[in-house]
Amino acid sequence: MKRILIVDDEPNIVMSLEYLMRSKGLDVRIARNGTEALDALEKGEFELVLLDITMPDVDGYEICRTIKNHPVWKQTHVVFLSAKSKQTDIEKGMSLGATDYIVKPFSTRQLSHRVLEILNEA
Amino acid sequence: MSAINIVLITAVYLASLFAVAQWGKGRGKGVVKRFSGQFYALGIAVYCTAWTFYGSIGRAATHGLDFLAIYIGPIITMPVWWFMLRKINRIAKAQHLSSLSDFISARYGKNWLLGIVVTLLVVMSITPYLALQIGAISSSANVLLSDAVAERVELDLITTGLLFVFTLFYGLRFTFDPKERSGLIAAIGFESAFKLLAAFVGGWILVQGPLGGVGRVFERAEQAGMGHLLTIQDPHQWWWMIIISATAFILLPRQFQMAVVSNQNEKDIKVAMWMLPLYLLLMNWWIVPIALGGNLSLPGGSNPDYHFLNLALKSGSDYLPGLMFLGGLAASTSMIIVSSSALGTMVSSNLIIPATLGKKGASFLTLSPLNSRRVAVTAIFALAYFYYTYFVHETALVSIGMISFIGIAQLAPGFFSALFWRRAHSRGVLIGLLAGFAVWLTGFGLPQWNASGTASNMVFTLFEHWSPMANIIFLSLGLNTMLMVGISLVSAPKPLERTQAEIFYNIMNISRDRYDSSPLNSGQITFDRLEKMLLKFLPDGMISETLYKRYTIDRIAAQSFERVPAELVSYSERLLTQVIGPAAARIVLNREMQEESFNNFDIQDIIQESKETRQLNLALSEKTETLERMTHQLVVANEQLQTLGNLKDDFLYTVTHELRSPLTAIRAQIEIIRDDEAMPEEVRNQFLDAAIMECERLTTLITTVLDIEKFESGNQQLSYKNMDLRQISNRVVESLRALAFNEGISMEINGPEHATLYGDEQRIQQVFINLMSNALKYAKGTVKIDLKNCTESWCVSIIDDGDGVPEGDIPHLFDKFYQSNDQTVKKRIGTGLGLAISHNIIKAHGGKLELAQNPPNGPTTFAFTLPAKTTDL
Repeated sequence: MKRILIVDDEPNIVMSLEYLMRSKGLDVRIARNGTEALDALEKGEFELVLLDITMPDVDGYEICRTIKNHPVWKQTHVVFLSAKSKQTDIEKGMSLGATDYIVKPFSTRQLSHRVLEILNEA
Repeated sequence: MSAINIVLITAVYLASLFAVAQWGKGRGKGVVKRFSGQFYALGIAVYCTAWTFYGSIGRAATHGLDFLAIYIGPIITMPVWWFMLRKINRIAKAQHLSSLSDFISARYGKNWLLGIVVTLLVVMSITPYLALQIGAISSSANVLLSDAVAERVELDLITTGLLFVFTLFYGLRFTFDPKERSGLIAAIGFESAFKLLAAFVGGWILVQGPLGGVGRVFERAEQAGMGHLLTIQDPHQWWWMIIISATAFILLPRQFQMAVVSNQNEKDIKVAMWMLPLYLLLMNWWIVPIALGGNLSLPGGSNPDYHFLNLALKSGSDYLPGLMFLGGLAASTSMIIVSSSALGTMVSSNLIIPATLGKKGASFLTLSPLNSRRVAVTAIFALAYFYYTYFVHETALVSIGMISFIGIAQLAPGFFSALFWRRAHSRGVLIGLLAGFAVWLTGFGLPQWNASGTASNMVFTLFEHWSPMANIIFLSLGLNTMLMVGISLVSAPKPLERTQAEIFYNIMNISRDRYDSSPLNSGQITFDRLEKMLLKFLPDGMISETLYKRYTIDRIAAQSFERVPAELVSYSERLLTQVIGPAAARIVLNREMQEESFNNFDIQDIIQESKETRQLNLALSEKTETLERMTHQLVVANEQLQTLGNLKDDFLYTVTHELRSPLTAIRAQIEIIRDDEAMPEEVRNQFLDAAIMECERLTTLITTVLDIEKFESGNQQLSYKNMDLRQISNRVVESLRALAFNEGISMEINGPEHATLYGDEQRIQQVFINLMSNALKYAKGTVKIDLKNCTESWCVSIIDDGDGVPEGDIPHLFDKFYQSNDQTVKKRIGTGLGLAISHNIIKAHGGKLELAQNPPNGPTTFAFTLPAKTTDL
């Protein structure tokens, strides 16, 4: 079973994503801020991280940078899920090595389709 | 000191004077130019003659502080000279005027007669004064002589002779050759520096040494009954002397020579403004103690004028008497050189040249201008030496000097009107001058020529309680001025005089590049004739340097029989003026003109033109300034707009960002419910509840954003009424009780039972809720509301026992959408707008919300004040 990590500080969004990804047959872990995300990454390898950007402690860009600079984690796909909709924000996310950048609010059908697509390609 | 020694040091001094002059002409030219301001000031210090060096002490020894007037006059009028000297200098430069008589005669229609009268008056006033300087040299030498009469060498004759030679060498080309001018300026600067050095250092050594200090001298003087010498003896005369010396400071020929003719740069006047008062102060520094000390310690009957020398001799010093003698010599010689050179120029231009011009038709004079000056200077020296030999004996220097001053002061009405009164007429000036001159001569009983210098035979006494001298000053100047004004008012000037009056009066408004181009006449003369005439009159240096450049340009293009353009004629006239004076220059030119048709062009045109240009320039620079200012304002406004725009963009972006989060949750939940038909009932309900909650959050967000927008744009509408803060607190605490209970936090309210004020109850309640919610979020055990009656306002504090606001957050506390990073433990709630809107609400009520206390300084306390006004309406 493929392991994915959901990082977001909005409880209702986390709740929805968790349900959605589980229903697609994925092994889901939750982190409600940047610190928790880094903890989770330490504990186990993930094939994909759904990553929010605006978070109180460590922001999503920083986490992405950490992942991509890490010898082992750098294989992990990062998909940003963010309300930040400016072109510059998107470009910045992609330049950090993200596989995709999806602007909130998103369609759950498209999101799950995209996530599965990335996982199957891998 | 032996005669030989005296002759020796005199010779050495004079030799060095020649050396300095030669140096100033040649290698030192650069130095003179670089320090032109300092040299200029030292040049004007030629004001201090032997009269200052010896005479002031004599005066102070007999008449107390009266002598000070001579220096106070120039010092207190110094600020006026800045303006006045600039104007005089511009006129003199524009018209190439090189003496006081040139200046006056030029203004009043290049009036020959006026020039003659001025010259005669000046010669009569100054020649005795010159003689006195020679006398001072001789008498001071005699004081030094150890075995008097027998060895009475002709030091006076030798010195005068050498000075005559010096003046012939360096004083004649002065007005038209800059190189010669530089030599003379250097020499006079050297003399001025030397005499100041001698007077100050010598005075210092004598007073501090043999005399035992200033205090001691004054003490002994008081004891010896000389206390009256520390006061002003004759206040009336004193004030008149101040006025007279202030005018003499510029009108004495030597002063005019140094302050106007030798001025090279207008900026130098500024240097003189501070250097001269300082110079005069230092020069006079030791005079009173020396005078009193001389009275006290020298045998009775010694001439008080020579207290300085006698004290120096008595001190037993080997070098001090010599130094003092040379100081006095410097003072005398500088005066003699400059005055004789100035007088020589005047006499030459006004008396000799016109006389030798001959009758009409015999156009060329028999003497060249330079030779004419030589004759004049020789005559002046001869006259002065003659006067000295036959009339000057042991006369008090200062009285003769003062009488000279009063004579010179007769020029004041005409001179100052030249600068400031356009209507002043040559006839008025001439008659006024003659009247003042007559009163002066009669009043002092022809004093200069009987050399009594005492004004004892008084003819005029208007005011019994005034001194004779004050009476004469008043009467001569009063009559002079009245006649000048009266006659001027009823006389109509000729065109030339009117033109000149306009130029003099308006000189500051005429642009400098018009000085040379403004045609003052448009007579007719061929190149051939003009050339011949100029060659005859102008000294070689002037033709080759100044004129050549200008003249050849037109000359090459023209045939010798062609007519010279008017501009060039005017320029030639100014060059001639420089050498032979304005009146003679005009006469000479008139004779050469084929037709005597002086089409006097209208000077008003030039002035008008200059004025218009200036006004245009002024208007233009004003416009430019306005434009620059406006551009700057636009730049600033643009920056502000950009900042505002950026703020607005940021705000909108943040708002949309904040809107996206709840929308994301809602959309996701609804889509999942739609797509997942197998969803258990309880999960669906949970999702639906969550969606509803997010909808509420959206609503609150939208309301708050709109609210804050209203407050920030000033469009908020507060519904004021009387309300009770205590009741509001109670209500808020009640509404939050469940939440607090869940968190295990207790709440309390401290304060009076009622706290009424006039405000918007809903809004204030909103503030309470926001602050209380924040407090509950961070509190560990208790949250308190404190209500306190501060003077004229209510102070409300919301206090929690949490860890406080992190240092880094404090500056952003009241920013919109700012949420603390320190929200890891408890999930952030709220919009990030609570404190911002609360801040705005309190501000709109005329109060202030702030973080009053923060750990570790105390419990976290948000406090606000509200004005405690109420209304019964």
